[in-house]
This record gives sequence, C-alpha cells and structure tokens, in this order.
Amino acid sequence: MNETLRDAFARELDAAGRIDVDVAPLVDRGETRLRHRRLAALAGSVAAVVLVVAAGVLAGQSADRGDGPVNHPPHPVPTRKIVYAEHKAGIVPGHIVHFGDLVVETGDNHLHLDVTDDGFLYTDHTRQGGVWFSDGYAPVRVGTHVCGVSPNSANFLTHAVMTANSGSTAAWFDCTHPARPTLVVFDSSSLHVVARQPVPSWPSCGRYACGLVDVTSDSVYLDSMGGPGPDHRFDVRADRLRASTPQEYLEGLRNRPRGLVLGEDWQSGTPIDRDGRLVAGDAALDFAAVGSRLVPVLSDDTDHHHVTSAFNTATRRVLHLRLPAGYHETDVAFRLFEWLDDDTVALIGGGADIVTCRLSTGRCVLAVPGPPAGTVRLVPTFPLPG
Amino acid sequence: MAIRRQEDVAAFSEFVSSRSQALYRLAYVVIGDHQLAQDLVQEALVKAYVAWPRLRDRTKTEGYVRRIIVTTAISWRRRRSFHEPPVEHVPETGAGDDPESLAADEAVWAHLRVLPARQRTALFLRYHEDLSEAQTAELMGCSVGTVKRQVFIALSKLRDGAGPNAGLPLGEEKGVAR
Repeated sequence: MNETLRDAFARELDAAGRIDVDVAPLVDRGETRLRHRRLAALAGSVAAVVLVVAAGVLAGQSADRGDGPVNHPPHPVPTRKIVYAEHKAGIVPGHIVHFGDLVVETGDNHLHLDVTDDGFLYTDHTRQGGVWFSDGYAPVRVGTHVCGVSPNSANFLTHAVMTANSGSTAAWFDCTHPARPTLVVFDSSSLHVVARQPVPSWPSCGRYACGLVDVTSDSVYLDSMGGPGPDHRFDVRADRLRASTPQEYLEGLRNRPRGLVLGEDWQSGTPIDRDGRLVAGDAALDFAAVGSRLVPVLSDDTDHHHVTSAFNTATRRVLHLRLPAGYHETDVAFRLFEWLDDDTVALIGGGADIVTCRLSTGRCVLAVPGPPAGTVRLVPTFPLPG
Repeated sequence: MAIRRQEDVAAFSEFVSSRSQALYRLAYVVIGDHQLAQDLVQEALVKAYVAWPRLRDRTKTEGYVRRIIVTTAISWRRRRSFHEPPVEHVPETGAGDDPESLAADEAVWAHLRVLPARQRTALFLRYHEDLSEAQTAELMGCSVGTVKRQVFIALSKLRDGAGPNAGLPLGEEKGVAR
C-alpha cells in the first residue's frame, strides 16, 4: 500500500462531494427500458409467428400451384453489424476487430470470431484460454479455459466459440477439466451464462473432428463422432442433452428464418449448414461472379464445381443476386459469412471485399472494400483450423 | 404497471441507499468530472435495475455495478471522443492539513487526472481500494497481465511527472500483454 497515492485519491475524493441519488427516477428509467425490451421481444415474436403462419399457408398454396415464388419477402429488421478482423500477413492474428463503424482493440493472438445481435465474441490464446465479448466498446472476458484455445485441451478446435445466426445465444466448451468438458451456453444480451452441461468424454474426437455443429436460440447441436452432422442436441430451456440425428438437424435448418436450401426446388433441395456446407458431404456454397450475376456454385474439396439454385428458407423464393454496380472484378467467388437481418446477408470474396445483398431484390452493394495488400481479413463463421 | 416485483424494487432501493456513495467515488475517479460521475452512477444503477433478477448472488451486486461503471465510462470516452478536462481544480483544504503534504497530494492528483481512464482506474483499485491484481482484472474486464501493465505504465508516468521524491511506489512487476 502506498500512502502517497492513497492520500492523493482520498483528498480528491473528499473534495468531490457526495452524490444524492433519488431512487424513484432510476426505477422509472429502468421500467421504461424493460417495457421497451418487452415490446421489442413481442415484435420479434409476432414477426416469427406471422412468418410461420405465412409459410404454412403458402406451403398449402405451393402444393396446389407447384413451385415458384410464393410469398412476399419479410420486412427487413436490421439486427447485426458487419464484423471482421484484420492483421498483417505473417504475424499472429488479431489486434483489432471492426464492428460496424466501430473499431475494437482486442489484443493480439485471437483467432475464433463470431457475432450475435449484441456484439461479437472472440477467443484468445493466453494461459487461461479466454473468450471475450464486446458490444463495440471495451471487451469483457466472459469465459476461460475454452477448449481448443487453452493449452490443456486441443479438442473442439474447429469452432472454439459459436453463435446462432440470429439472437443472442453463443456456446463454447469449457476445458477446466479436459477429460470432462462442459458445454457453456451464453446470452450476450444479459452477459450471463444460461446453461452449463457436462458432456461425456469423446476420446475419438481428435483436434478437429468433434465439437459444435450449430447453435440456435434454444438449442446447440453437437458432434461426438466426427460427423457427418450432429449426433447430440442440447435443449437450453429443458437443460437436457439428448441424442439427435443429421435428419433432425436438416429439418430444423429447413424451417429457420435465416437459411438457404440448394437444389432444383425448395421442397426437394438440401439445406446448408451455418458454415455454408452440405451437412452430408464435403461441398460448400460459393457465389461465383458470372457477368453481372452471382451464381450459386457447390464446390467440393476436389475442386469440382456444380452450378445450383439457392432458395431462401423464409420465403422459399429462389435467389437472383447481382454484383454491385460498378464491380468489375472477374473470375471471383464470394461466400456468405453473416446474416445481418432476415433479408440481408454479408458475403466476402474477390480481394476480401465485403458485399451485402438483399435476398428479396437481389441487389448487392460493396460495403467494405478489401484491405491493402499484405493484410489478412478474418470474418465470422468460417472454420479456422489451428 | 411495474414489471419488477415490489420486493425487487425494495432490495434495489436499499442497495442504492447504502452503496451509491462508494459507487460515486469510483465513478469520479474513472471519469474525472463531478457531473459525468453522477450521470455514470445513475446509468450503471439503471442497468443494474434492468438486470436485477439475474443478480442472484447479492454479495456480488456491487461488483457487478462497479464493473458497469468502469466499462460504461470507457465506452463513453470512446464514443464522445472524450478529452480530459484541464487541470485547474484545487481541492478544498481542511483545517490542520500539512501544507507540504497537501501540495504533494495536489501534484500527484494533477498527474493522476491526465492519465488514461484505464490506468487511473487500475491505480485506484489497487492502491485506494486495496484490491488484488486478480480482483482488479475481474472488475476491469481484462487480464491480470493487462492490469500489471496498466499499473506499471501509470506509475512510470507519475514518477516522471511528479518527480522521484513524490513518494510514489517503485511499481509492480512489469506486466505482459495478453
């Protein structure tokens, strides 16, 4: 303890006077915020119900009338900001993350990055292996000993932290006890852990094979055997881990407000997972620049490409995306990495340009030009080994 | 009709009555301005009210609010391109104060005021509140290494500004950036 510093603080604080807090106005302000939150949640619920009802009605119409555009696009409600990190090539990733118009200093040595409606999460590789959250301002650490990040566990490395593509839910594995990891479910709106679920030891996983497959607002899909697809599901509200199947997961994907189905039509097509990949198989969706259009292409790991059609799960309409006006890059492909709202997606491609596209109109704009040469841009969702 | 239950409101009111002065002291050190400190405390308390049912462990409520104060203050500074006010405030002197001691405190405070908020906060929590490095890190939402680094840099600046005879600590182990 240092008396000089203590005295300097104490004397200044004595001179600072006292605060006279009236509780009633604080309660009024708090109640107002709570009411706003309830209204926002109610609006979201109503929109979801309308969407489900519309989908049900239109499914009936679709059966009667055959395929084709069948309903109106949802009214877009922007919920997310574009998130990406940049670092100089050849050095450890990290340092800064762009969150909309804000730039957040995150320190070096982070790799995994994902986004919620409230901000973004990233991991670091310090001794405790932390996961951090930022709403665009000072990051706060919300977890430690994250599997795949902390030195005592290299499992679950492909997605150390994962979020739902709408809402506030995020998940990671806590490897405080590496032999018995604990699934952690986090709510970024309240900054609270909402569930902790120990999972059985999965010794056959290895570094990349097992782990988080997908997250929704009320469930987490897990893979304990190296796929294809999830074999477990944790239900947050029921606080229960149970067996699941890739088929169950596929049906869930098909019914989400933010998702894409690939194929000849919506009904027979195959949903893609959160990483833009087919659940069974090793093909991923890209959008190739062909003339002024962005054409959906399935590319497998042997570099075979297959032109396909992509349907919006919310509207069941086929996508017709167009390159941004004045965008003249040729022989480039883009990949979807973030849903900004129910009708807007962010893609990255070309020279790491970020474009945003409205699914209902097909119109795309260049949102963030690519970084200068020698700079690497990281975006959420992409699995990043090692 | 109120959303929070009456017993929650009563518990919140009791917390405000008993702890607002201590919270104000922290807010003042962090933000460096009386009016902004009052705004900061009120904003933090409103956030606490909204989160109140989730603050199940009442022994940690004050820590939660203090953390809101620190993080909100830093957000405000970034959002508003906040600049430190000019160093012109002279504290009231009490009867019986040693003039030399008073002058030394004023000199130290003058240099404390112009430190970045995070560095000043780290010093306050470590040397006034007697918190450990781990407790300080928890409150500031950063690593222990970052706290060490902030304290080390802050003490270096204070020694440079106030001089080697100001009676400042020699410093802690130099931190490592996380």
